[in-house]
Amino acid sequence: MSPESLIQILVGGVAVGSIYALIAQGFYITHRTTLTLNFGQGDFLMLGAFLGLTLVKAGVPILFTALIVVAVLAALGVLLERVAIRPVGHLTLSWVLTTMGFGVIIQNVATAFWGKSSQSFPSLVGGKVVDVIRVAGVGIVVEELFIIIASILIMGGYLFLLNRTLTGKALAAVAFSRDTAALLGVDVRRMAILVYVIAAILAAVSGILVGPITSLHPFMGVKFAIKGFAAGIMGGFMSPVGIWVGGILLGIIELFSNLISSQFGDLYPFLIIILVLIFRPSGLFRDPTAR
Amino acid sequence: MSPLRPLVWIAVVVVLYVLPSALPTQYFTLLLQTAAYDTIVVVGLNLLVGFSGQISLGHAGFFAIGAYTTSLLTTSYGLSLWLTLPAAGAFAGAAGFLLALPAIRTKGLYLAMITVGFGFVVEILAQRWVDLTGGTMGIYAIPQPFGPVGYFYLVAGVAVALQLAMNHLTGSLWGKTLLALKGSEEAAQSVGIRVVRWKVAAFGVSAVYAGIGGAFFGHQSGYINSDSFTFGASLYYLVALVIGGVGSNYGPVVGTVFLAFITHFSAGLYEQRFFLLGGLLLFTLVFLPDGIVGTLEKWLKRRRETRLAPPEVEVDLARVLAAPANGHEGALLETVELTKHYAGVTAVERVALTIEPGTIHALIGPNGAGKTTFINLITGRIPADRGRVFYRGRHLDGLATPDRARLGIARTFQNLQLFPDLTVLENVLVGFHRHGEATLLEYALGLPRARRETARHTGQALALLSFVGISELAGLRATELAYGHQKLCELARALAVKPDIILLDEPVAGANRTEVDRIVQILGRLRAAGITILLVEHNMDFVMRISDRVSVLNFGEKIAEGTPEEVRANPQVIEAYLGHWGAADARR
Amino acid sequence: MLAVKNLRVHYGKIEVLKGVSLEVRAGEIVTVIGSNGAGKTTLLRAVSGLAPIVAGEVMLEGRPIHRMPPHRISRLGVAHIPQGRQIVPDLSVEDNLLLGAYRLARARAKVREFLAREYERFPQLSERRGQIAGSLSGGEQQMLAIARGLMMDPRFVMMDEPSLGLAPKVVDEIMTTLQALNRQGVTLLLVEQAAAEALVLAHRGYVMRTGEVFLSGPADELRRDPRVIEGYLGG
Repeated sequence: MSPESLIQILVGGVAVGSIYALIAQGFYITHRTTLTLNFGQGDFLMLGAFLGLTLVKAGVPILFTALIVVAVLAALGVLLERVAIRPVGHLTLSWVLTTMGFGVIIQNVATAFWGKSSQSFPSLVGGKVVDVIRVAGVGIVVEELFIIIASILIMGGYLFLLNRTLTGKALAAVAFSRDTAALLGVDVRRMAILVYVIAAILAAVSGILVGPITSLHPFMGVKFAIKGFAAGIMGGFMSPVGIWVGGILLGIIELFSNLISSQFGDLYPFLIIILVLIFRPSGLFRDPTAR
Repeated sequence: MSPLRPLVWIAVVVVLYVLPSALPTQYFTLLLQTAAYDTIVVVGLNLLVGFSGQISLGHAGFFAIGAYTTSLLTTSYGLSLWLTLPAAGAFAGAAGFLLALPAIRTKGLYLAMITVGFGFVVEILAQRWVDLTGGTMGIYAIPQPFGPVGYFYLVAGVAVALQLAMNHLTGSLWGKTLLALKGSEEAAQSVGIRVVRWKVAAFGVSAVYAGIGGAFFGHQSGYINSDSFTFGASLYYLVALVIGGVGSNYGPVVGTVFLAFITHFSAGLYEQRFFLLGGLLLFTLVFLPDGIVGTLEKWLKRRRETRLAPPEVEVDLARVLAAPANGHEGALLETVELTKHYAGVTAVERVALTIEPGTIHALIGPNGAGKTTFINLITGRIPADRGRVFYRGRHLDGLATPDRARLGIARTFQNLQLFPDLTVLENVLVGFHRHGEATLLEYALGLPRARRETARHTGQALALLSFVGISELAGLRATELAYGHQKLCELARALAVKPDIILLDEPVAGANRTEVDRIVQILGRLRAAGITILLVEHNMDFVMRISDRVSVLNFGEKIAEGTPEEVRANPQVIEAYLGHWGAADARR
Repeated sequence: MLAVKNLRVHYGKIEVLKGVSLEVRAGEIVTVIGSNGAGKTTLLRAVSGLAPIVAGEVMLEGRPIHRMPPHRISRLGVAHIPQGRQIVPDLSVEDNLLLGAYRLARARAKVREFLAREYERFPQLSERRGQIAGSLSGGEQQMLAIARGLMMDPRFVMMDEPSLGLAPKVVDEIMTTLQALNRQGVTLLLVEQAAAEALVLAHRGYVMRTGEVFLSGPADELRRDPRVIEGYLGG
């Protein structure tokens, strides 16, 4: 393999891995704060992709498209928390099923609107999805570069929110103890809604970003949810940065293993989860705040 | 709870016999076949979700393994159905076992997500491993034995048998054990239940049921392909279970039949089928969380409450508790340099403690002095930073809580940890866990040894309850008891371990004077029966009355030890309890 | 300031508070003592909205608060410093303090002022402001918990066993701090197992046993009461 194609594969891996990491962040932030998460996160992503596709095809500029999709999914996040999380609580595993059921309804709505066949998304940066720019003599797919840059910006905002704002600190307090947070004046219920909105927004953005490099169909969500979860497990579900790295690693591994055998490409993330669970159940990286 | 009377079962058989001819077309016979094998799958799923408190979103994967196993073995190797059916169950069970083993050791949520992945993987393999599965083209000419009606009889017969076996399992100690660990893993471990093993076993059994169900699917129409094993199928089983009633014996069959009819009558809405499933799932979980059967059972529950007559006999404690073995001379339990730190705080610092057999040893000290941590270190609930625990002269390094319980170390908890899904009697029954000998198969088939064992343990459990004075409450749910009675129930459960030493974390906290007197009397009799007691307590009056020896912890360190009188007179102890401010007095 | 009338709290079928009545007047230090399991912590949790109240009422300055969610009660100027300190271990000392002023977040000048005030009150915290809170010693963690509670500038402070697991010298410091706080006009409700210290500090006291108030009166009288001496002061 030439060094150039090696770099190209690496870039591709980082791009899809960034998407997986964004999905995993949605899992992480909801589970940390509410001890629940959205098993239909992949379906949220799918809906984001389809909505984006429809708007872009209708000629809406990409930035507006993104804003509209984010707004719609954020509203859906609120709805999810109200109908699938709050009524059943976190004490039993019912929330797994209710969020799943919610996701299935989304799949069905999507099937009704967009049909069952696969569709493809135009490039987000104009031109063709396969367009290449040369960076230091190496041809890099512009679309992938765009995904990487966009995801870095999103992660930056996300990390800023978590680590630098009072809201982020309040989320940490809720994660530590709901009772303690409530005693400090934090409205724990609003925080629960907030994290579901954040997770839904992450799904919306990843859906739009991933659109051009995958094929869209109503049942694509499960695959992404599983890979997001695999990314989270690799990162140990402890720190957002660990999850980010885990996602990118997963993306790289996936692209390289596809080189070896593409027939069963989707199996590799699953094998990785199993291996990590056997040998490093708390993730590949040590948690710095381990007690 | 109890298996239905024979008459009811005869009626069931008659109905099943008549059913195919009562319905108009052969189409309905096929529908009945489907409902029967789906019931098998859902009955197995119920064990997993309703009893062991786990979840599987990939049961279609096990179903698929069963279907492909029997299809391939009969078509390619010409094996008989009677061989391939068990093989289908075994293969699916093995897959379940391998899947659950790594996942269960970690966070509970991981397993749920991994089952999604598993279902997905099986779907991909079915689609793309064309050499084996035929992919979307599928496998043809799978034998279809006995004609439609005969085949329905076969599937229904097996379903009834598997339902009966499941009734035996869930109604037996085995099922109670699963409910126990669902309710409180910590308490389950404290009576010797190896939680991981039990969860994996439940997962395995559940997968076996799914595999058998899948095998019957394989022979139904003589043709299978990868389209039948999607995520939607996994969801279908869960919806059936939830609608019928999670954790109730007949929820699965009711839910499956109900859903089969719904699907049948909405056949025209095939595209909306999943919409229907998702909606039903959400609706049921939010508005009817106990499902159809569970809700009915709740209504009928009051009438069925079991009242057990307390045994009149004076309890022969020595017989129930089995005299502690005398293999070891000297101290029963000894800690050396035992140390535990939490972020910035010393919980236990180099504590050396020697507990002589047959004594009551009290551990006192101000709140936060490390007493409960010390107990948790002895039971292995938390690992020590340094130091060791010796029991009968052997160190306990590397032994988890259940292993230590099996050696005869029992405990109670400061904040009660009874099993909420079980009655008082069943809570104590589960305590006998380490003394059980009958196997899973014996319990599933209701064989004599399992029945004898249950009867023996029930007698002993009632004896223990009568010893602590709450045998008339045996049939109530543990969570319905008053606080003081819950404490006594926990004590009885710990005694069911037949321990050599029992660790009591604040046995009289919240008890009134009469209750304290009663506990003093109980502990005295236990000591007389040869059981060693280590107790943590704040009630000084109680400690001084009952203890042979008292050790004092302060900031994790042992600052004094001796007879109650010696400790009471120790100036360091007085200071630790009264503190500076109080001792120095009026400062304002 | 606070009036609790006939408060009943159940956890499942267990009745933890069986009709507790208690009063705290503005400017007072009132202590509730009693052994483990007497219901002292539950009493505080019920007042601040964390425990499920079955019957009875809680009035704060004449206003019923027993149906309010905890975050709203806290915003009325009630600080509840919970048992076991409950500081957020992976946040820094300063972040924990800022969380205490959560409801004032927009009034930045106020937050800075209160932050400076608490650093002055607890110079040790000032030295460690950037440190992860979980790495503090037990005494420092308790100080942080108190300082965090005071960051919301409360008029009424409820404190659950501040002496828990602390050396006598540190308890001494904390009690002195509480006394100073009271002199600045803050009303205090102190739940303590260290009955001797608490009764020296407080003006009045209540003794709880198995979910009920079984004795109450001026602290000096309680300290001389033989039933208190025998049961709680260690004879």
